[in-house]
Amino acid sequence: MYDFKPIDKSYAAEDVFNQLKQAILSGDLKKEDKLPSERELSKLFNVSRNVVREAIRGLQASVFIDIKCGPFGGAFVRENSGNLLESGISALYISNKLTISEVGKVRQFIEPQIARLATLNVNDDYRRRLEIALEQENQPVASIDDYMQKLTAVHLILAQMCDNEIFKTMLSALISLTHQIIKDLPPAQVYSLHRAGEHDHIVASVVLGDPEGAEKSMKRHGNCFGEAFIKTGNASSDQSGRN
Amino acid sequence: MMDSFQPIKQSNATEEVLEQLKESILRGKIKEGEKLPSERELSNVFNVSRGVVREAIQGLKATGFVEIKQGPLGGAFVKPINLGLLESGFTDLFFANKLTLAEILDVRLHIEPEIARLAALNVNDEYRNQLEIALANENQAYDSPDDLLNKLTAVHFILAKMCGNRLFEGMISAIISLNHRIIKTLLEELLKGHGTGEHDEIVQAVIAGDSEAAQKAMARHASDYRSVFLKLEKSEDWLWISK
Repeated sequence: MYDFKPIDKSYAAEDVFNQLKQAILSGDLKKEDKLPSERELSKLFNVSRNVVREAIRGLQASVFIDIKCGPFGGAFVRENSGNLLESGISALYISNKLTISEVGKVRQFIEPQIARLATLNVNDDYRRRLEIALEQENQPVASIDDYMQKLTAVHLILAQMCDNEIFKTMLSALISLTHQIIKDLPPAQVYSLHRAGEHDHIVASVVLGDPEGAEKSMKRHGNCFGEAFIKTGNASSDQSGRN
Repeated sequence: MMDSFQPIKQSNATEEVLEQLKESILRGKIKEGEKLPSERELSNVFNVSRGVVREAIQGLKATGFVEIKQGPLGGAFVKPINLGLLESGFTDLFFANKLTLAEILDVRLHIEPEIARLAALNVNDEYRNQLEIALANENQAYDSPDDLLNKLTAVHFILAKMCGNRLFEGMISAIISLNHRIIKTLLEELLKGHGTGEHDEIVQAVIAGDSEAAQKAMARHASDYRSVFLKLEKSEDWLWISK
């Protein structure tokens, strides 16, 4: 059914992992597809169920699948949204191989370009989504998470609009790391990082279809939020002695 | 007090073990090249089954944090945490057929001028020397497509290193490597499609003054070559060949 090959015992789990990964990457197994059961896989590959389980854990850890429990549970293929890049960047940051300022500078450099490219692809659907996201920003916030989600919505929509999978993947990885860093700050500091209305000009330019305007206002926003983020983040990581 | 306890889900045990081990690696408690404690020791420390430990280790392996060596002195060894971690993120995207060559080139077009600008700000004698050697090498004879590509990408990698932002360096190096891989595959296919000797017949016919034969021979050659290109363009296979 899936054209799987028999297994060399010494690398059995690795081999099963690689073949399943290949099936996902090549699209034989698609997003939201359920993998065959442990029992079926163990028959198909002619290996023990333990080996299959190890391979499945490997797939889970490298974010190819989600495990759901319960009667309708099983291993489901995730949308491969470049989470390996995200976990890589986060690992480099935690192990002190990247500084906040390096992360901030890259964001400041790629986001204006993303805004410019996004403007070239604007349509009514995107216009509406951007306007809803802006409205949401002005609603009361329930938590820090909620606050950060509301303020990132515009950025993520623009990333989707720019129609370049690399930029999109990079930006969502960087945004998620930004969240991870900000989450540890005292709430008062978090709320002061990003002023209300900072996205207004950006969205206005995108909606109007003005790429230069979008690029410029994103640059301004990056200088404003980006510098505040770098400063606050550095100060707090000095305090907590991340070294 | 009892109701503050969270029941343990067996399915989370693996994830918890994996997270704790990963944390120790990233925080440098277990260092590069060091061996993780044995399955038996870990299963004692975490108070979980050896199966759970094995699954967690498989997860660490899949995400690039440890490598497994077989044999009496084998075990799970901590891999260096370096910018190479970013490469698998992009490679996976590419093999999921989510990236086009155009996207890769667009990102390079945007980021590499900035990298060259930053590199020029950080130039010193050591870097000057490296760049000059790389340039001199470009003019040497090459013995394979791979060798040629290595020679031609050297300058880009040095500039990336010079730019002084490790995130830029890691991302662009990963993208260049991916680009390199694609081109290498293309070159090899093209060379396969255009063997030596394909011009013999044409030239012979021309020299002999046989206009009809020359016309036919060239038509055959052009049509062969065209079909190689069209096949390459359509085939998704060439993306995989160099793996």
